[in-house]
Amino acid sequence: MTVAFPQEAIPIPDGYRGEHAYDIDQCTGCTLCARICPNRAIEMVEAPEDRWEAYPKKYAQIDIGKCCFCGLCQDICPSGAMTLSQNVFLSTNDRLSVVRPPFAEV
Amino acid sequence: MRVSRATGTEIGEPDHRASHAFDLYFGPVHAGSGNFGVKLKIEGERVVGARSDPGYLHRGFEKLMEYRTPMQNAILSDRLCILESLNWNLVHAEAVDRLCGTEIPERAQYIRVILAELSRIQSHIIWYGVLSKALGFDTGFKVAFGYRDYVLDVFEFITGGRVYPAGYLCPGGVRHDIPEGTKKRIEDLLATMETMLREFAGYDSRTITARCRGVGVLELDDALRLGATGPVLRACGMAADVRRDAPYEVYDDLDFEIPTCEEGDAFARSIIRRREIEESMNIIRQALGRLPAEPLPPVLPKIADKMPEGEVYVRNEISRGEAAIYMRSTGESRPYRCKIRGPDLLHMIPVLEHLLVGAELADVPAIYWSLNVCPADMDR
Repeated sequence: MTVAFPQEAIPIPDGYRGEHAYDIDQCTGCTLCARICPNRAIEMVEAPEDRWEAYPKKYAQIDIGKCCFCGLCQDICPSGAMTLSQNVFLSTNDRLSVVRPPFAEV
Repeated sequence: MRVSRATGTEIGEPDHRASHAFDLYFGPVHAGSGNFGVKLKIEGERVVGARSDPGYLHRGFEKLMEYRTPMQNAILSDRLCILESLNWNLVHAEAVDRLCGTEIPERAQYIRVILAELSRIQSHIIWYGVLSKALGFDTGFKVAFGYRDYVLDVFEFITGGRVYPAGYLCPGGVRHDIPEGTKKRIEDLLATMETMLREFAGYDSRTITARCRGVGVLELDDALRLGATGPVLRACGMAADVRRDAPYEVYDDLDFEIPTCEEGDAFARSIIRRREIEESMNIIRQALGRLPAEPLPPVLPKIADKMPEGEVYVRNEISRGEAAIYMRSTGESRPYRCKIRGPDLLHMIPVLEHLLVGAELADVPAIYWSLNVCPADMDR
C-alpha cells in the first residue's frame, strides 16, 4: 500500500471528490450551487467589464479554503457546469490563492 | 467497601485531603488521550480521585444543524464523530426519513447496512491501533492502521472520499448507487480482514493480555447504573444491542450473533470488539448476497425541502454503543431542534471516573482506551 511517490502513484478512482472543474461556458448563472453550499464557499461574481457581452450573468467564484468537497454543488447543477475532478494537489503557501475566480487574469 | 479484583484487598474511600496526593492532568493535549482531559489525584502509584474534564471538542453541532437543510446536515453528520462517520450519517438519515415519512428503496437499505458495518469494522481497527499505541505496543498500532487503509480504499471507491463520505447515507437513501465492481472489492477486503484478525490474535500472548487482563473491571449492576452501552455493557455479560432490540433498516432480516463476555475487564472489552469485527463481516456477506438488483437513482439535493411538523427519536447501534438523534421540526426546511445523544458522555464521565478510582497509574491508559472514548460525540 506504500509506493515510491512521485515516481509511482496509487490511482484515484473516478468518483473521487477533488478540485472543482468549473466549465463557465456551460454555466447558466442559476446560483443553485451558491445556495446549496453548506459552507457558503461559492459566491456569484460579475465578469470583468471587457467580457460583459460574452458573459452577461454572474458566475461562481469558489473558495477552496471554505469548501468541504461534499459535491452538493455538482449534484445540484442543472447544466453540468460544476463538476469535481480527481485533482488532490491543492496545498499552497499563498493564503489568497485559495479563492478561485471564474475569470483568471490573462 | 469495594474490593480490588486485581489484588483482593479493600479499597478505602479516597481521601482528598491527603497531603502527599498530587493532581495529574491526563490530557487533553496528550499523546494518549484524544481531545479529552481527566484530572487524576494520585498518591504514589494509586489513583485516589478522578474528575473528567469534557468540552474541549465542543463545536456547537446542535446549533449548526438548526441553520442547515437536511441534505446539508447530512454533510455535517460525518463530523459528529469522524472515526465512525458512516454510522452517524445513518442515524441522521434515519431521523429525517422517519420525520418526513420517506420510503427508502430496499437496495438503499442494504447498501446502508453494508457501509455502516464497514464503518464499524474500521472504527474497531482504529480502537485496536490506539489501544496498542497507548500501551506502548507500537507494532499493533502500525499494523492496525495499515489494515485500515484497505477499508478506506473501499470507501474512496464507493463514496468518493477516504475518511469523509460527505453524507453518502443521506435522507432519502444513498447519494448515488454503488459503482460497478464494488461487490468484488468488498469481498477482497473481507479476505484481508480475516488475515488481519488472525494477526491480531497472534499478538494476544504478549502486551495486550499482560496489561489488560483483570484491569478496569466493571460489574454489571454498576454498568447499568452508570449508563454504559455497546461493547462496554456487552463485556459485563448483558447481550444488549439496538440492532437486535429495536431493529432498523434490514437488520431484522439478517442473522448475526451478539458476542458477550462475563469478566467485564479491559481484556474482555478487547475480545468483544474483535468478535464484533467478525460478526460485521458476516453481516456484510449476507447483505451482499441479498442485495436487490434494481439500480437506484441518485438522491439530489434541493434548496428548500420543507419537513412536516413533528418530532422523532431514532436510535442506532454505532461502534461505541447506542447513539440517538432527537429531531423536532415546525414545518420549516431546517430542523427546529436536533439533539444528539452519543454513547460517550456516559462512558467518559461516570463510567471512567468509577473505573479509575483505585486503579494504578500504569493501568490508566488501558482502562481509558478499553472504553473506546470519543470526545467528538460527547462534546458535539
